[in-house]
Amino acid sequence: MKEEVSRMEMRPPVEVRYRKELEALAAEDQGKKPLNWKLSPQAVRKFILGSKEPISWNGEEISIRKKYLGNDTLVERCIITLAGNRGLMLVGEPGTAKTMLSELLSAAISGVSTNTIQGTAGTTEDMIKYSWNYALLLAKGPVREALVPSPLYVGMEKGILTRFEEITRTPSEIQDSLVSVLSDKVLNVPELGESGLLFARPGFNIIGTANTRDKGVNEMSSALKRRFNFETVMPIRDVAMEKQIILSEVEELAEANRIQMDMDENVAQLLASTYHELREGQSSMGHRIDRPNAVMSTAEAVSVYYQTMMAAYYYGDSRMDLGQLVQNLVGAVQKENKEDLEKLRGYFQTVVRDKGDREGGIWKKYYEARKYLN
Amino acid sequence: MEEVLRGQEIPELKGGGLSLPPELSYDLKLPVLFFPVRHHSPACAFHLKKAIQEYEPESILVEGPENAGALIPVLAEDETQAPIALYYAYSDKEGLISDKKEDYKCYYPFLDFSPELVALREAKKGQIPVHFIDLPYGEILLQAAGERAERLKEGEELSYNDDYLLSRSRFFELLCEKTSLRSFEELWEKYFEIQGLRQTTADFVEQMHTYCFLSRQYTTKQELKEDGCLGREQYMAWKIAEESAKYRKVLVVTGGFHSSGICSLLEKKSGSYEFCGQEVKLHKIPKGDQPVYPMSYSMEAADALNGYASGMQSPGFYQRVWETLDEKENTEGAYRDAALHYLALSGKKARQKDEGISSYDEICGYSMAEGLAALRGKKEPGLYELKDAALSSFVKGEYTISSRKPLEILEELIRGSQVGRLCPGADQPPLIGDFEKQCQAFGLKLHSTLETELTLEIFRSRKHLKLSRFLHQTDFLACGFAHRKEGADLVRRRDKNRIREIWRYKWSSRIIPALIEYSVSGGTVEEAVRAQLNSRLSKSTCCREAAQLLVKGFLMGIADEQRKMGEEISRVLVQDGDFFSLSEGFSYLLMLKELRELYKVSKELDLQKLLQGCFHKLIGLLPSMGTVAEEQEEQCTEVLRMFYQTMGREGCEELRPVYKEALERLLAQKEIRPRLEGTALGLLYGYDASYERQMMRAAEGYIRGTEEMVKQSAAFLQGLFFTARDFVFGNPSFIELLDELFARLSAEEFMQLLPQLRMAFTWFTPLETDRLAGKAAALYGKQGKDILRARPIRPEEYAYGEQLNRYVSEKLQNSLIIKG
Repeated sequence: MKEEVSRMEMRPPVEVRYRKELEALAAEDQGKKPLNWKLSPQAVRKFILGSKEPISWNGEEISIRKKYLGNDTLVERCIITLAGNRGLMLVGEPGTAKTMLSELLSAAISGVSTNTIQGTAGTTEDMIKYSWNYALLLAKGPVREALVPSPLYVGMEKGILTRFEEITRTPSEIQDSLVSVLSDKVLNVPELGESGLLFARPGFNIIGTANTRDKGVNEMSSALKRRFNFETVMPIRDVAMEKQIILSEVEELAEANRIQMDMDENVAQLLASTYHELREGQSSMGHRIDRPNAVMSTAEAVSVYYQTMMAAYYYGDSRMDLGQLVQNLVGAVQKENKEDLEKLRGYFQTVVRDKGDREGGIWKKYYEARKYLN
Repeated sequence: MEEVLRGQEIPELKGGGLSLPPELSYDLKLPVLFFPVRHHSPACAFHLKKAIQEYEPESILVEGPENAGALIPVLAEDETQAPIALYYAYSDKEGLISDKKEDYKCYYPFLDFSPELVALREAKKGQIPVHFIDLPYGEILLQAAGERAERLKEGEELSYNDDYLLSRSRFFELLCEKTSLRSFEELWEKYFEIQGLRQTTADFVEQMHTYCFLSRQYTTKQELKEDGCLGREQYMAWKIAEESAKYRKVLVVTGGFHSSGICSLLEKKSGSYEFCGQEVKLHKIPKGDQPVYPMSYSMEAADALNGYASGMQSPGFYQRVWETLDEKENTEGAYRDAALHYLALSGKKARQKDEGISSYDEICGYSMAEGLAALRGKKEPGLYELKDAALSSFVKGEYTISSRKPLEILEELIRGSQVGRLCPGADQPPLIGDFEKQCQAFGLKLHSTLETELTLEIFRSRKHLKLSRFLHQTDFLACGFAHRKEGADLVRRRDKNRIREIWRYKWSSRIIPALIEYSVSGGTVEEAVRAQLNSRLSKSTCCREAAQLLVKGFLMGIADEQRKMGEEISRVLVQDGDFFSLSEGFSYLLMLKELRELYKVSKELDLQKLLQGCFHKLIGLLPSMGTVAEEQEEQCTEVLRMFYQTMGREGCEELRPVYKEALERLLAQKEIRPRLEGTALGLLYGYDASYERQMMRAAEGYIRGTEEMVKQSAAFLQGLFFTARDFVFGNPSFIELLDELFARLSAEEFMQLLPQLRMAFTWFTPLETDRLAGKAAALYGKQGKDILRARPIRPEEYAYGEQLNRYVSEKLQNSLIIKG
């Protein structure tokens, strides 16, 4: 057991987590594939959007779960973009599952989702293109062996997708080093002389993700924008779907961390409603609500639920405690300024109170837990 | 890419072992051939045309209210250009539908690719008799009950050929789920429009019948009954049997949903069909109660997304598809061509608007459309792939209100902008004829949806005055044809000194139906306006509204019944007891009196008498205005000042003492709002300087009074300065009193009163403010020049400030919209 735990990964990559599904899909796949793609576009779609009918593979019934809950047609457009000449840029508010979608796409198309550049303010051009192993460089001179390839280099060399996370956190001039790669599909390493031209193999493309609401993001140049197809990932607008996401994400987290506790649908519903209403600025009963400045993403709701769950599991009686939930909610909302807490309080004083009066039950208890709003 | 994705056959959807009645098969030997359609479907229209050629019917029957039968020749005429529509109205005068005896209306739109229109046109071409076979419109309404009747009443459902039973059936919901398609429309496009074109007519008809039959299975009998479907089908079946007795080959074109229903009511007997259902008894509805007219329609109105009447999405796109099908008679590539055409066209238009869409974007868009079509198992990219392609390739950056312009351009293009035209001599209500005749006479452009601007010199040109009156008339009928952009606005009493009027007008398909609704009021625009004006005036009990109508009458040149109008106003004056409505009415009448020469007010309308009547009523109400609500206080002070100004005019001398007395009575009230008190005192001071003492006393009362009273002193000053700011300069002791007020207020109290105080002092001109400041400085041994002055603002600084302001508010608004 100990050994097993020590070998466990905290968050295995998508291709490991869904290895069986991917293998089953590949075995069943009859569709034509673009060069170097592991699956056909139809199978990629099925992997991400799920299928009602399970696949029989190796004597097992493998059901393909819907992994991305949101806009199906957006996924279709993403797949087609990746098979074409342009890169794919996923933009949107934080917590809208852009990264997850890009991982799913990479895992399904190239079989690997870890070929990733993480964009930060400190990202430099050599992190994007290539750098050198200086010991080898001194010993052997500028040879391929001494070159340390970047994920972009690897993607081009192997014909797989390269993910560029948080591209807009990278300074604009550094982002622009992608321009020539995207248009000519060639990377020049002048130090290597004549053999220094790396032509991308078919199957190579870039999936970028970019945040639009965070502080500290840089504008993209028009030249770079032209080389991407943009897809804007919108927050989930449907409470029932948001609830479903909270439940399934938390369940997965709990399973990975061996927390054996039943999911509480009512609490998930409560949290989904709260996040939805605070984000939209209107309650289901028609109240107008002041929207907090903090990002009210579904990912935040998942984390609030999960924190409350852990507290209940380790310190409590394995039942979701609404007091704890409200405290975690405060922590999630009160990030940028104090006014947000006031807005949350206002939400409790109007919407939660009225819902408690009308619906009673959990909403009433939720209202009683407002004492933790400090 | 496309090649990689294609290669998979679209899975045929089968009826699940379902056996359709043999009468519904596409058997060219049958005495009655049922051709199922969905309204506005190019594929149905395409196959229908083929079916007519193959079947060679002797008679064609089309689903459509029977009472429009006489209009078929107009619809099918070569010179008639789609989009057109039939306008049906029903006036429930007998209370057959409900006791409320309401009016109902609906449209039956026809586009070039509407199968019904194709049937009518083909019938004309082949000289085949053709008839509408549905119940008359009034009867259809009588058949509907429950929810649908409610919807009809609410005016939600405006289209006769609504597919709601077809598209809302649970069957299609299940199919959409199973095929992972977004909506019924997308499912329809994929399996019937695109794939349907590649099928033989026999296969297409079978597939249509299967789908419609299955979707009918998912509709309960109760729903069918409430919808009025069953009664209509009985009637249609009866009509078909009648026709079948006369002709050997009858082609029946109805909504596919009805085919199996109708079929079950017919029995085949030796080469013809006999009716075996229940006879539908028609009510006796006078013809005049359910008129029907043909009218020109527009793509804009036919667009379902417009929400005007249920239609089809993006008719411009399907028009292009239809044109290719009709011209080339080639089923391959019509959709691909339309998608490519609109991608390129929207790219070009976007470039013209500096949207930075390159040809390469168009190429990528086209490749995306083809790729998506293959991924979704469609033979060709359709409307949905086109929209997705534009979204992916044309929108640079995050999808926001500012980046979505290229998509808006595309939406506009695929909606289409064609406006239909009826053939000359088409039967139209005389009102429409008069409207068009007048438009022609004035040289106004009809049949163009572009907005045109006109500048009218109404006092210099007789023709311009006439045109202005005509435009005012159309505005009064609220048909949305023209609106005045600039010029004297007598109704709002603004810009009265303008001598030019600038109008904008634009043709839209909404004009005709709006006018048709008034066709009962008269045969010409002027007659309809006169009837409406008189009817509204006779119903009015509010002086404001009545006087406004009178003003509108003058603007529209409908002023030949001035005596009668005057009598109506006198009646309203007696009935209306609202101070503000009366005072507004008073100002309208006063304005008309001033402009009587310009607007040709005749002596028959005794404005002086009306004004006096109004004035006396107002004077009677004035003393009770002392405790008027706070939000009306300002309006009240303005009325008081307006009276004062009016009394100063010639011919009003004898009214002055009456007004003065009324003001005194107002002041004698125990409770009076401080602002009104200040205003009234100021006005009395204007009449008689001896009120100075009373004013000082009142001011002292507030400024030296209890704490609550001090707080009200700013409001009192507001009223006082509004009417008598000169008082300040003639009374040094008043300035001392003001100084006392400021000295008495604590910093916090001062801040509270500051907004009101600022408002009070805004009545002074800059020069007066200077003088006042000088006097205030003198109280402390200083002179005017010692006052701290801010550096004067230079014009360019001011302009920059304004520019900055605009920029910031624009940015803020954008960010709010984005957040919202």
